Amino acid sequence: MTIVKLPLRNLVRHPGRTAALTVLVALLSMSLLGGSIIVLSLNSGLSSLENRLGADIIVLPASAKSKINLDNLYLQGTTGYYYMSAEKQAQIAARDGIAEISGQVFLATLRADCCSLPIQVIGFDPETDFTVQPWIAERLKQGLGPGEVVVGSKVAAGVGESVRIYLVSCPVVARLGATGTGLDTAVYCTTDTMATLLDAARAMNHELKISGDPASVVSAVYIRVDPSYSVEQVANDINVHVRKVEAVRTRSVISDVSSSLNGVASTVKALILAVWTLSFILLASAFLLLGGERKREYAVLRVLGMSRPRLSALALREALLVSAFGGVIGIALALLLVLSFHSLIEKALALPFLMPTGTAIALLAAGTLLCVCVSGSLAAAFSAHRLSRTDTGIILREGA
Amino acid sequence: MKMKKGTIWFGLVIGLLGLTLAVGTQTFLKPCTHDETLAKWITAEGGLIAVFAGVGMLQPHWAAQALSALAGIITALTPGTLVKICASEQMRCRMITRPAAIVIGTITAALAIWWFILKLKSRKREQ
Repeated sequence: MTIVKLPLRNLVRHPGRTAALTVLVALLSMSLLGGSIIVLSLNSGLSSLENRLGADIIVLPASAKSKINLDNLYLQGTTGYYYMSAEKQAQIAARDGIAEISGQVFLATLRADCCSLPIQVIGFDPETDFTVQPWIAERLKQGLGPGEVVVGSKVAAGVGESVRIYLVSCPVVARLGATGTGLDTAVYCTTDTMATLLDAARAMNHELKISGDPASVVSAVYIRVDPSYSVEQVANDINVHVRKVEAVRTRSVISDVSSSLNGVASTVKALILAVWTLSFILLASAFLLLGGERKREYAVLRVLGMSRPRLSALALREALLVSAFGGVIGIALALLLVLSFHSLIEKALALPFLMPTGTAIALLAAGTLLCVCVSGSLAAAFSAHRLSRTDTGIILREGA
Repeated sequence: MKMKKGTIWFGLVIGLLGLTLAVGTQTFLKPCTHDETLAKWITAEGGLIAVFAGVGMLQPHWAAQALSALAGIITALTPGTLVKICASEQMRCRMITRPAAIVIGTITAALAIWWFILKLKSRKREQ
């Protein structure tokens, strides 16, 4: 038995006491790491949404308001389809303050069987698009050919496979990176391919409420505003002068999402702080009580020749060991729960949610362990300080 | 006496995990009504974990802990590896059943292995 091994032996010989302290510390580290990963994922998701939206204004048919919440399109990938004549795009393009303009056509697939979900198909104009193509270009060097599609990260089809949309087999040529938004469940194609799919949908007697040529409709028009104009001014101008459309500023979508996200993040941070404070108080109380119970044990060690500073160091080392052990368990549990249930967490929060990289998670885990070890040591510090002030003679005479 | 208390605690916790899995897969953790294969597998594994834990409490033999650990590992691997599940991440089997099986299976295996190590140390001390 050496002085170095004494803290470990003390912990092992009192499993009940050690287990209780370990559980407290594990709760602390689990809440800190789990909460941090969730908050970081929410922030990453919001940044991703800001990067992907690309446009300053989105113009939708007025009838779309009753079918869809624009927030949901980007957050949860609400599947829907609504159309307006391509002439509307020409009318919008004629307004002042528009630097770039491009139309997209939406289509939702049917549910093939009980193990499938409808997905959103988004057709973009390769000549004018400025929102989707920069993103696709990260994964695909050449343009999309006829009939080819690019899928979001959560679509269950890989590169080289095909997706069947209204009985039309479309080869998948690229898979996009995760964004943490509803865009991950979408399939992207050119407007020419979309015209084919719309025809196929109508051939299957699927009511799309399109009159005339499917190639002459758009679902949404994306606008980048000239820097010399204000976005609000251009949006208002469109709403006043172009009939039966709704111009929405993407900034308002982002700020709505940002407000919700900040609310959730604040709640998570408050919960972490509450758990942290409670656990710290409980730990400090536990170490204080234990210190009181072990007075005779420490008195005997003093009689055997252990100095006061070494006695304090012994108590601190025990606290550090318990903190490290509990910290590792808490970190392992947090990682197991968050990484396993991340899809459910994402769905429950209904906000952009993009998990951090492995490196970021590893750094968070290391930081959590450090915080927990420091907290555990601080919680035991008062108890250790009291030990160094204890009069051995009084304790041994007490006969406690 | 200390070891017996520990045996009871371990057995109770692992047994509870097994029962949660067995009952849960038929209720709140149920994958979907389309294919019962995954639900049946995990229910059976959960039941086995509970049985091994109970046996381990009554007859603290190393085989009970080893079998509990093995059952935990197999449970964690079942959805996706041993039994096919839906490809879409948004389906219930991927969002709820699979993570639950992974979490409960991993915790069961870790506790059973820890129980086994403690029992081994206890036996060495007695010898």
